[in-house]
Amino acid sequence: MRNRDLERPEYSERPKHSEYLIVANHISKTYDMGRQKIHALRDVSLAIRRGESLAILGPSGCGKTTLLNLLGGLDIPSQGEVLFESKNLASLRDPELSDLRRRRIGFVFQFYNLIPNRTALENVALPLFFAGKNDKDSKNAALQALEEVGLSERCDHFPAELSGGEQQRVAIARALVIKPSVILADEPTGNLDSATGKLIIDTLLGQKDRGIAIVVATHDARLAGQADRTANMVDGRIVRVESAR
Amino acid sequence: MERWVGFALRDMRRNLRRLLVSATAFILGIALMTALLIVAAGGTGVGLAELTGAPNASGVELVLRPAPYPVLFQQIFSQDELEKVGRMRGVRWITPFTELPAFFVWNQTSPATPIPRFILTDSFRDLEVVSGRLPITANEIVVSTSISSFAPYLAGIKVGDVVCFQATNRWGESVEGRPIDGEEFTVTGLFRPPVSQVFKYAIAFGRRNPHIPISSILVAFSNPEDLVAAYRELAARYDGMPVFFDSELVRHEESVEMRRRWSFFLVLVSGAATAIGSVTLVNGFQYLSLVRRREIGIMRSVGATRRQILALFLFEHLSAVIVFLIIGVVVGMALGGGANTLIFRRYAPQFWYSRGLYAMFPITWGTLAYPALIALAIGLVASMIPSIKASGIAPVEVLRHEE
Repeated sequence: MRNRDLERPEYSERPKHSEYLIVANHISKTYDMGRQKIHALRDVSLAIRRGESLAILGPSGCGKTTLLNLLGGLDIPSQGEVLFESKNLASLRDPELSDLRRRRIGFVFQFYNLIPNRTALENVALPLFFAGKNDKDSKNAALQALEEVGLSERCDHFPAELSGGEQQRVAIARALVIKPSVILADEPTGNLDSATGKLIIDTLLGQKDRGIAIVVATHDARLAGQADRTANMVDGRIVRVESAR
Repeated sequence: MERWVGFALRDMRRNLRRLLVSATAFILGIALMTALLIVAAGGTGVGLAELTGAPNASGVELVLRPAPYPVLFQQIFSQDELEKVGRMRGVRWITPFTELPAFFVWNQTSPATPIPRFILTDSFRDLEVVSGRLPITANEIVVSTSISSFAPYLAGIKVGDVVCFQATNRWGESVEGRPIDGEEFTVTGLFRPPVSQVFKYAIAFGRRNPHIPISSILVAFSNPEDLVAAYRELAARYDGMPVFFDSELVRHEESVEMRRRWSFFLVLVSGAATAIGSVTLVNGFQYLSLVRRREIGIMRSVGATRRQILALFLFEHLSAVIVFLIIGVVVGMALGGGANTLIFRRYAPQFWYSRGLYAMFPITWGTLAYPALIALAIGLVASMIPSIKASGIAPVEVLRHEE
């Protein structure tokens, strides 16, 4: 499917709620750097179904991370709109947006982004703490999430005591612990060797079976090959969207 | 709340370590402030003293010495005994010292009776009016009335009443030079505070009646500050007459001066330290927020609201301030106590009695409340701006790159 396919009615008009989890409508992102303006994203439209996996491919600096940030409500577009279950993220106030991130959206970052002075268990339980769950429930849920990624035995270890792959699995557990509707993963295997990367890919894509949508920004062709769809980005634009055969 | 306390305290040690340098001036400020309050609150203890002023041809000599009789009088009188004896003899008895925190009697004798005239008082405040007349015989006295706390007891005493003292205690010990045990006195006048009027009146009376010499005026105190006030009043009231000060009074004046100097020094230093401490504390909190930007970004990305971040940082910062406050107050107590000990040992007059630790550590709620309130107010203000800034950090800005 070429980029022009995105201009078909199913993309240019607002898709039905039940069909799509996240819809990006003609979004652009421009960073104002004094006199210079950097166009990180240019008129991107994208729709993500529930339970599907989408790999966003492209060279460094093409806008993959920016797109993920916009889809997850970490940033707002300069133009266009991002709808999460038909709610425009730009119209949400901070508590509502935070609530959405706390309950529906899991993030996995390239550099893991674990809090260094908290154990794996505490890192995984972090979203639940802010969601107001009590310590016991949080701990149980975090343990279960760590078990799912095969790290329950290392729950009391600090990030510095874990390998890169283990840290990334802790990050995935932190994303899973809230039972999200979507996981947005930014270069999750970018810092890992190929064997560990494969493990992370399997762990991430395995969540698809639970109805969790997976959106992964990656250079990793193996990962892209296993996704339901791939979107190729160049210079802030999606130039091609392909479905798996 | 419990969850938040646990969450914030989890980082306490790390935060304290990071804040240690910037908090030093703040802790010093709190410590010096506490020390200032302790030094200003006393440091010379509490005692009982007798001040004797004896005008003569060459001037007035003020003599200070330990005064045992208020203590003894506390033992001498008991309400039951006095009432019993009073009923038997048909005279009115002065209400016991145990019931009277303040007491004032002036007995004037004639030249023919060389019994020392005496003024006994435990409080000097607010004596204003003299009514009746001064005593002119050995068995006449004037007494004060309406000194608030014992007015009810003396309210019934009027000019012409006969009163008597019991100058021996229950063990039969007598106090030399005091009213004779059981001796009757006729009340010729009533005084009202302040006592300076009494002295003024007495001096004027003495000058108008040079044939009735005033041989001595004795004043007893249980409060050192009252003693100092009386001394100053006496010195001022003997206008035109040279005043010879007792060495103990000079020492006391020196101790007061020394305390004043130390207090002034402490005001300057503690003020400067607190001001510098406030700035460094703001910087410390700012630094803490800065080095934790990534952590804030992570918390925001997993769903922490701005308000939660603000509350978390405020709580963490104020917890640190409370720790600094405790350290500062403890150090300040040590400094203030040390200064008090030095002043006491070097300057305190001999009549001063220490009341144990209180003399060195006159700790009151004020001593603790003032530094606490100031520290918390500074801490809150110092914490507010960095915390608000921290809560406003955009996660996307700090999560983009590895640090």
